[in-house]
Amino acid sequence: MPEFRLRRPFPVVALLLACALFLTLRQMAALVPPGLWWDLLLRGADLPDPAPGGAPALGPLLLHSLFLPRVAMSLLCGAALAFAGVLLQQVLRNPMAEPATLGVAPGAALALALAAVLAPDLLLPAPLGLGRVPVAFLGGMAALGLVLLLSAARGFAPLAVILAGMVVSLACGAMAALVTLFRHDLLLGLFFWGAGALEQRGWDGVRSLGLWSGAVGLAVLPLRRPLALLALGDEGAQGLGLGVGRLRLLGLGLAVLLSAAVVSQVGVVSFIGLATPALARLLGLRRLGERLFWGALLGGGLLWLTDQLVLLIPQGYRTLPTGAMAGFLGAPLLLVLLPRLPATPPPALSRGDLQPVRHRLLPALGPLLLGTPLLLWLAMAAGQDAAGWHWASGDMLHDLLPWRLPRALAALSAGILMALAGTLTQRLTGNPMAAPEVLGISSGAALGVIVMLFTLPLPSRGGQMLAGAAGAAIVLAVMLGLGRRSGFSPERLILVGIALTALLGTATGLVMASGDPRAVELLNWMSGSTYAMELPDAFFLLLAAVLGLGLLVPLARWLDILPLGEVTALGLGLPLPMVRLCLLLLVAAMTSVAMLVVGPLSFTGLLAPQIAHRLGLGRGWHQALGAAMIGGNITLLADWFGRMLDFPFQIPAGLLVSVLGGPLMIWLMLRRPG
Amino acid sequence: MIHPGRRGLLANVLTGVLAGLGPGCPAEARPTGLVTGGIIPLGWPAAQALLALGLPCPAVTEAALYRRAVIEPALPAGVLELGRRAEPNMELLRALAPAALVVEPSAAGLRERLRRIAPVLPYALAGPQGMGLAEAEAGLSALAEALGQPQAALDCRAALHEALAAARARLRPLAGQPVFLVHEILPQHVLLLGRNSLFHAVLAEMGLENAWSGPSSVFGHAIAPLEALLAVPQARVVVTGMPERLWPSLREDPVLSRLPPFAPGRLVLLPPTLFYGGVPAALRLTRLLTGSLSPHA
Repeated sequence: MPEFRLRRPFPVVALLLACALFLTLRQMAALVPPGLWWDLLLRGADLPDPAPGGAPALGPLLLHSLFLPRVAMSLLCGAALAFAGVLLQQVLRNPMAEPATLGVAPGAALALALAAVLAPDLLLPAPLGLGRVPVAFLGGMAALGLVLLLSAARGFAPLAVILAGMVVSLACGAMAALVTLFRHDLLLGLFFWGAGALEQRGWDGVRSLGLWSGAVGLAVLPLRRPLALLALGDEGAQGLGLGVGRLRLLGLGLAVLLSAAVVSQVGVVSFIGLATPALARLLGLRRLGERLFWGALLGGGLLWLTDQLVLLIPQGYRTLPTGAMAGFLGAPLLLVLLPRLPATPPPALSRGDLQPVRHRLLPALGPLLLGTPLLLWLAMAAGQDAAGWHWASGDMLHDLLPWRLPRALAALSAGILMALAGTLTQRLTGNPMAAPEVLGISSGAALGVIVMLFTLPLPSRGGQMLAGAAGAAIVLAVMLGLGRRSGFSPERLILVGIALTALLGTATGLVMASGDPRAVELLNWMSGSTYAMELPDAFFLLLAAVLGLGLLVPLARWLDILPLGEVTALGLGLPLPMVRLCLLLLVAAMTSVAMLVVGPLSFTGLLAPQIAHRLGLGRGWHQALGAAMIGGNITLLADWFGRMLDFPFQIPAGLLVSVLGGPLMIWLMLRRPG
Repeated sequence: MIHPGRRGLLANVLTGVLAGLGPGCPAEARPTGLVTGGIIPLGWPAAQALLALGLPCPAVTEAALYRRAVIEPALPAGVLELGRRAEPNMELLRALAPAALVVEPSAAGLRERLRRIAPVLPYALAGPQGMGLAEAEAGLSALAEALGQPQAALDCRAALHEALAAARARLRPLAGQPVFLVHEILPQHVLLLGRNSLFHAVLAEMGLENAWSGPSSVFGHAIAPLEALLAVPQARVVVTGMPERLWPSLREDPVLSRLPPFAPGRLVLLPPTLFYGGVPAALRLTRLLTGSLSPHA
């Protein structure tokens, strides 16, 4: 298929801006007659005092204090996010890099949530407290600091940075979700901030973001040429005498500064940072300077137009923030563009990413297998009630078992399934950051469940499973269609996953913003709680987990050969398309079963295979079995901890895995030899 | 559901239980807080209802938040925490061996499992049209009936109607004037209460007009951008859900105070009240509003 390219950026950008301007002028004319615009411009906010007894003129106030700042904010945010996106993708040589994937947005959200709970006065406007912006900014920068610290040992290699960003994002997101689960009185405020509401109250926000954007823009100007050379790859750039590590750090820092400024003002605006750089490349823009300039214009125009389109929705029905809306419009766009995107060199795996440190089977697997019954016993017997701790046995244990066993079994089985699915995806794509969630399979299943939850009056569990499996299957079909064309390039598959995950985020956002009572139920389910488990559910899950483990026997050879690369695999006589289809189907099935019952426990699928590998389990089925036992034990333990830590409050197992797993992952990454 | 025939029997059992647990033997007097055989509410409105009926409330979900966001009727000092309201702790509930559980329709998913612990009494607050006063009063009466305390509900309802009549008389000069019921002011949005909300009904009983006529959820609330409130510039804004420490920043906000409904003298800030709390919440709102809305402005 010939590569599709629109050569000239100017007509596209001009059309975008003209549409947005037309809608804006229409809105302005509705507020203040065009004849008075010049007058208003000269006098600014100083409105004439309404005549005594007469109705005050509201149009000028609306235009000046609410509407125009909003327009300016949409333009500025779009431009800044696109600029940051281009910069990030250049520095990391990775089309998946965007502000949200580097932990900036989740870090900022967590800082705001924590401040709202621990020191609410900090969030009051300037004379009384610090204000929201500096708090969010500090949180975003702290998250980035952590990401950089983690990837420093690897010289800020693209894959290391993305992986660290993802770990930090997941951990921050989980902790913020934990805060909102316990303080749902704050949910609405945090949600509206988090989802990219562009409405403004006065010009303060625009002024602050304008200053930051200008400063970063000026700083990038002299760095244009050296940054452009990063595209040659580490060896090439080093050969030209560049300090690659330092330059990458500088570029990263500037891009994140810009995105933190945006995030602290309006929260997460999805897709502009990811889609605009892709669009710029599609328009045939090659040079970095060009991509930055036109990218900023494109991003600004896109968000401006999106916001004006949102304003066309009648007021009472306009519950969705523009930032979330950008996700709805952007995700399909990205899916359409994807097959036409000129291929970029995928981030190369550095040595050691898939090779075990040492090879040891029994010392690693033995304790894991022995640990499971011990942990199960602990989860059954140890607990609390109003009088304090107890160790149940005999009749007491018998009475408690119906309450405890379903939860423990469900947690164990779901952990096993997610870890298995994670191992299969990582082996399949040869990418250690691949997990079912990254590939969008769990997002597809979750979207299916959400649609089901809100269209049928009385959703049953069986119906939910079917809807989830259908969602996962649709995602799978899309991936197979794309995969056939691109030869299952891991990069494309992961891009699809990111697009779908953003769609899921938007759909969830829609539910939260609607104030629907089912929102809390959804939030609960998404946090991965075993609370609703009954014994039949648990046995069903256990059966699925045992089946999954049994399938490792026939799959062992494939799992060993796949990571060696396509050429080797074909050379060894592997029917590659069939192998991939089988594994993808298996992954989809395991993911949707596990997460329909206990929510998307995403960290398990990412973490467990990595830990197994670190323990020295290198061969395919060794790693899979080890990962399964690690995943199962971790979620089992997390479920028990979640019920005990803050008794009688119960922390969902999925959230706890993310909160505890994040630091564990970070620790593992830090001690990895460079 | 409990059969009508069984309800009388259950009520007898419960009155016996209540006699042992009533004011003569206060729950907080026990050292460990371990009360068995009580009636336990699962949710804030149910807890409010029990307390308003003059019954003990040995345990409640999210007690600390209740004290901040619901406030009235006040929780007794020794009340036991049950955990998050979305996931009340089943093992703890079981250990408390309650005589009955009061469950709202929103917790329907839990009902099957709760029934394994104790008989479940339904407490419905809303009808298909939303949360009117009539629905709230009927819900309270039905619960009181099931608990064998019908007179307590009648007393509660009488107190509410008395307060409403007093408010209507005092605020007569304001009759028919528009008021926005704002539960929460976000940076650029407001959470409003619409035509099918409990507080709308309270406002109407007081002779005032709800200025928000847009769509609202099953619970009666809606989210709108600030400028939506300018559609009725002569309206007042009554804020029912923001803690007192935020009041100064709301009063002094430079942009907000220039929007007519939020102007000084028009903006009325009330201590938090649960907007889906049934009769007790309606009574609290009526009293707070009567105290802070000046009839001569």
